[in-house]
Amino acid sequence: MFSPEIEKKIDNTIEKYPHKRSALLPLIHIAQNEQGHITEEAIAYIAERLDLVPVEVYEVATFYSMYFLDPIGKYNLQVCRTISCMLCGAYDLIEHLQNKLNIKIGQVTSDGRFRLTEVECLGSCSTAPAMQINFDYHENLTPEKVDQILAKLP
Amino acid sequence: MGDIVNLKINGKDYQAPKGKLLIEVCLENGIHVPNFCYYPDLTPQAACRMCLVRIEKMHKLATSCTVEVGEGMVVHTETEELLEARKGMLDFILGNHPLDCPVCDKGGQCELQDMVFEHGTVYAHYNVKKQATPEWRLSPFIAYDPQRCVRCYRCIRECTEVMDVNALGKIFRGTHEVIGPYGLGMDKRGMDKGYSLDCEQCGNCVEICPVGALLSVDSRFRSRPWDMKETVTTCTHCGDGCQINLGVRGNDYVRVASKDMKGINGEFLCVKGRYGCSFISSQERITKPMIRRGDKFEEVSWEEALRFTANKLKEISAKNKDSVAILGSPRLTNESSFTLRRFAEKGLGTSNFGQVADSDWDRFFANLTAPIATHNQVKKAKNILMIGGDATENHPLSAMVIRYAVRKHNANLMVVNSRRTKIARRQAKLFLHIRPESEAAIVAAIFESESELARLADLAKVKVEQLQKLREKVLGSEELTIVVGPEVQGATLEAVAQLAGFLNKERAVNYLPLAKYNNSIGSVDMGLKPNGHNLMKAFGSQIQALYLAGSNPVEQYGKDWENALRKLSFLAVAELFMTQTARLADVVFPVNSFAEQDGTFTNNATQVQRVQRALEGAGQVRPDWMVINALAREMRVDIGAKGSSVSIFRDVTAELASYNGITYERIKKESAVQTTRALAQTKDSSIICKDLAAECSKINTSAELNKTNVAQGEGLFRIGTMTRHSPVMQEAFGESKEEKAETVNA
Amino acid sequence: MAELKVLTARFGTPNSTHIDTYLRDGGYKALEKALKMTQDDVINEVKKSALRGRGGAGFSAGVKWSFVPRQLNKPKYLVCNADESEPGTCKDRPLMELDPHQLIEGMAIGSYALGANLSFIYIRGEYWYLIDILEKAIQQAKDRGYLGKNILGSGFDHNIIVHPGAGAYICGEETALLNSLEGKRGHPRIKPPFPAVVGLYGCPTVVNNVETLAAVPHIINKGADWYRELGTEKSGGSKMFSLSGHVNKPGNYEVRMGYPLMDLINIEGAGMRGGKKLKAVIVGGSSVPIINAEAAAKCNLDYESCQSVGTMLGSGGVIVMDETVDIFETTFNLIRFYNHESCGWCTPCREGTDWLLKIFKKIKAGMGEESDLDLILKLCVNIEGRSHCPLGEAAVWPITSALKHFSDDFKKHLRKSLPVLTMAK
Repeated sequence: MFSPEIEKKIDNTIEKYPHKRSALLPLIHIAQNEQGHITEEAIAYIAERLDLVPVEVYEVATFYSMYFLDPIGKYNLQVCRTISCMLCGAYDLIEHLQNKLNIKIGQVTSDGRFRLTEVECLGSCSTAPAMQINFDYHENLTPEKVDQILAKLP
Repeated sequence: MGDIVNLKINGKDYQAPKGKLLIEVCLENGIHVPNFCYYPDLTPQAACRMCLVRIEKMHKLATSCTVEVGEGMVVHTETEELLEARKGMLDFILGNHPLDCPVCDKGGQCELQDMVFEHGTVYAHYNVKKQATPEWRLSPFIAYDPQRCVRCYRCIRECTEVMDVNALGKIFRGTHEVIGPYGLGMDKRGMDKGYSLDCEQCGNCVEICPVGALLSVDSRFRSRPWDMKETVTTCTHCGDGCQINLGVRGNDYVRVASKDMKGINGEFLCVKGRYGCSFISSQERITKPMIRRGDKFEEVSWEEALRFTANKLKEISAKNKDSVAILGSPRLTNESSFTLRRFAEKGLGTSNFGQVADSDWDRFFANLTAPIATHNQVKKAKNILMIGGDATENHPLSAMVIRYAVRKHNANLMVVNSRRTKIARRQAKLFLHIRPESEAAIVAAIFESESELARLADLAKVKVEQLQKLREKVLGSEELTIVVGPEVQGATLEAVAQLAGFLNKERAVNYLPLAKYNNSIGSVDMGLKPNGHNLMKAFGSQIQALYLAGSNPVEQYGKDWENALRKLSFLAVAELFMTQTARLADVVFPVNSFAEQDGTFTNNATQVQRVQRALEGAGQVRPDWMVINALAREMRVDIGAKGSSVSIFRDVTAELASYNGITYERIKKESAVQTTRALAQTKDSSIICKDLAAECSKINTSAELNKTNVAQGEGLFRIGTMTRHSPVMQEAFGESKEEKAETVNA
Repeated sequence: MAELKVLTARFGTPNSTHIDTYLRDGGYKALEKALKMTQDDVINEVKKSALRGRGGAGFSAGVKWSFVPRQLNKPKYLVCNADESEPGTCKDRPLMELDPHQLIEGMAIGSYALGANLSFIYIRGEYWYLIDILEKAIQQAKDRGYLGKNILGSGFDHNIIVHPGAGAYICGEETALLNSLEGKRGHPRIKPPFPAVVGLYGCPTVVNNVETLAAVPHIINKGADWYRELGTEKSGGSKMFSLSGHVNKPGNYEVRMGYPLMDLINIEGAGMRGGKKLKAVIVGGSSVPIINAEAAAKCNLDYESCQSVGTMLGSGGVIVMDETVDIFETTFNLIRFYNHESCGWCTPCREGTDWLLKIFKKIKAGMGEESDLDLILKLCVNIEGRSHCPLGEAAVWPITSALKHFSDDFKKHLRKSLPVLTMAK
């Protein structure tokens, strides 16, 4: 169900581990990075590759906060809301983004470009406040800086 | 286990095997420790935190469900601190619990209710809003109310560990965590799309749910537990003979339960046992005797039906006694089967009697060289050889105990089967996937010399190395349990029965025959040989009249039987429903279902268990034996008829050596009493080899391997004469209305 | 004394992630040395150094290693806990980003000592960009013979797999981490058995924090005594602290163990932002009790001193709060965090954090009453010491300590007086 290149990556990942179930988290990452979110097809595929039943994949997919069962837009804006970022203005940042994008936390803009979420501590405490856009870190943020970052996104 | 340790609990000294779980030591010694997530035989969780105890020298409270007892351990289970901790835990559990006990089916049988009651005042100061969650219908059988769930995960472990079905999991995280099948909570796969619990529908998860989170749909809102009369009886759906607790309200079926049961199956049941018994209260039951008038049946009185039948049988029997045949069924009680045989022998003097069944268990017992294993013994088996049979689909309890042996102590399971059964795929250490109907070759490979292996492997289409390995394991095991499936018949079955004798006598060998029906073995014991198919060939010629009880061969075996039955000049059928076979009858007697009568069944472990009356039969139904007695009386023949099941059973035990010493009282005490079988002489192996060679020559060597996996439900979900009339089974697995009409009215 | 550069010595080096610069700066010498020592000698050296686990629990690393039954005929595993997610803590990130070989060398030495031929770096999924850096470094080490078969002719084989997590604070707990690494939900396991005996795939396993392992090469190179003397008698060596919150220069700073907290704030952190007054500090990441300015003044950054002022050194995430901060709000923030991150396994944590959060929401909405504060404390008692893993306690300590030291901040949110009901006439 994936391109030969991705299939190869999946094969290598499974091969790497002494027990193939260990490849479950990496495989869900790979599938999600390919498809934007975790599809039913991907769950079935991964279950088959790892000799699991779909519910075993589903259990894991619903446990971790980085896995998404629904489309998350092109840019997933994940603003850290935990204490250090909060002390440095994360709540204002979230407010700013909600107003700017005209969506609430957890929503996707109607053009599918942005999804706004709050996340827990990103490990950017000394460079707070911070957010992650997809996998990229943006730190020492201010509302103005956020505007510039969003404006530069392709 | 071996070592015994000394420990102190609440100031008293106790001894226990080293390594045993503390909670088990407490419970076994009558020390009450509250718990939710602990459950015997399931892996410990330490999740509910109800079983906290204080162990001296440990800095925190400990969960007694995970601590193994050790020498010198000093334990407290009843301190003020613990009482507070438990109350605190109940506070948390009750916090978001809906407290809708008045409309909860579990109300009155709920472990949470009991626990709260036991602790008296809980604080109940949850002064914030509860999170209501919708109820989900997981399958036609099972509903889930997540808000009531205490997350003990018993259900998940039951499904994964005991059932090996793996249909339930933990979904989402933390406060939002629920249990459920794949897709639960997934928008795109919402429950509105239909049911998503893809499993055997055994309902064991419902049974062990401590609260009303998992529910049986068919009994919802039907009765409060205390409004129900519950009767322990034996299931009628397969040869395993599970004990069920049949709940009846008024005179109507409500449910089957198994909680806290101590019979051969404990709390285990399958979909048929748990949900397939409601046919007893079906509106479609026959309730009055009927006589055919032309194309139609007319309801008549018992007197008329009996007189009519007696006259017909007398008239036909007068010319030639053997022209009247009596056929019972592997479903009737021992008492009814015994009475049928007496009627045939003493009343009619015919030699043509037996039962409609396709098995050779009479030949198996005639050649038996080792004792029969009980299901409990199979749980402890170290080596299991399973020839034929698909226990998962047709003998769920046997499958469970085999899985248990593999799961708990890694039993060496060897499977010989022409189908890719679930046990072969998932539990077997060695699986010989053979050509259809080639079991004889494998059995021969054990008896024959090694030089024959290549040829026999070829016959069965297995690798010679595999066959070699099987042979070595069988010949080399100190202990062996041989499980025999129903497709093993004839000389092959005899050879299997002789196998224990052939193996060194010093070894502990036992057998578990997978007899198909609830009383396959008892009915053979009672003298009803499975010769129906032979007798059928004489219908219309040597045999002119037939009394058929409890069988529906037209549906089961098709046209040949229908044509044969049509050739008879007289057919009497005793049945629960107007089956395809009953439709051909001249007279139909309405009889009691298993739930409406007293008696006994003998299961596939040759254990005798009680069938107990849980409710009155509707209309004018009678037990089969009573119909026969009345018929004999009407014919003015003396069959030594006894007027109650208990007195008939006394005759059984007096006449049959293997039943000696068994009484209803004893069964009541022991739940299941195993019959003792006389063991046969071991034959010379050259004779066995010769017989097997003849069987081997019948193997169709052009037959290919059946490579498809046995699908879940192939046997479990198959609708039959009785389950067809169980509404929930019908809804889940049934034929469409048209199909049903076709089978019923054909 | 200001900053100390042991673990962070190479942070300013251009191209510091490349093995060439690492080797130029004396890299992999410790591994060479260790491979010539016996396994027991390596373990004893680490024991002697008084290196304590830098992830938060502070357990002696050498003692942990010595628990592994090396004679057992099963594979052994070393797992590096790089699931850095303790709020306030971001020190492991630069250790991997700027000096991956230091960690790899530490892991190789640890694996040698334990007899582990395969080890894992379990890295939180959010640190995705570090996976590439680590994998490149691993490949370089393989190419130069510091990983792979027969390392430096010693006969010792060792490999490292970088394994991404996927967003779960609880996976920082070592047994939850192992479950996650096995492809399961991150629920903590029942202990005992401890991972040292029954860990990954049922085999003996040691789980060490990134910083702990990064310190190992220095201990082997310069000796246990040298390392120990950097710090205090019981807390050896240097430690990284993530300074965040209301200071002028937040950042990661490496200082000796026992360094005064106020020096970290005033010297490394260049004082309070805007010259405001210090109100409170969380010293060791969000899971430790919060302390007030008075206690902070007496606090040195070592395990014993922290304990003496009623808190813990934890993971070294120093969160500084000035006088403008409402401690009710920060506590609310943390209980929301712990509720979000509770794995759901055990009753007190799953239900307790949810209930607490609901009460905080109620107070925030102005509907709180005095009795709610009592209820909060009661619920905390019901959680503490009764949960399946330390997350329960981690959720409770910030609350109980905040209520102890800053109860006024809570009280000002309470409803002033009950509304008086008057009968309509």
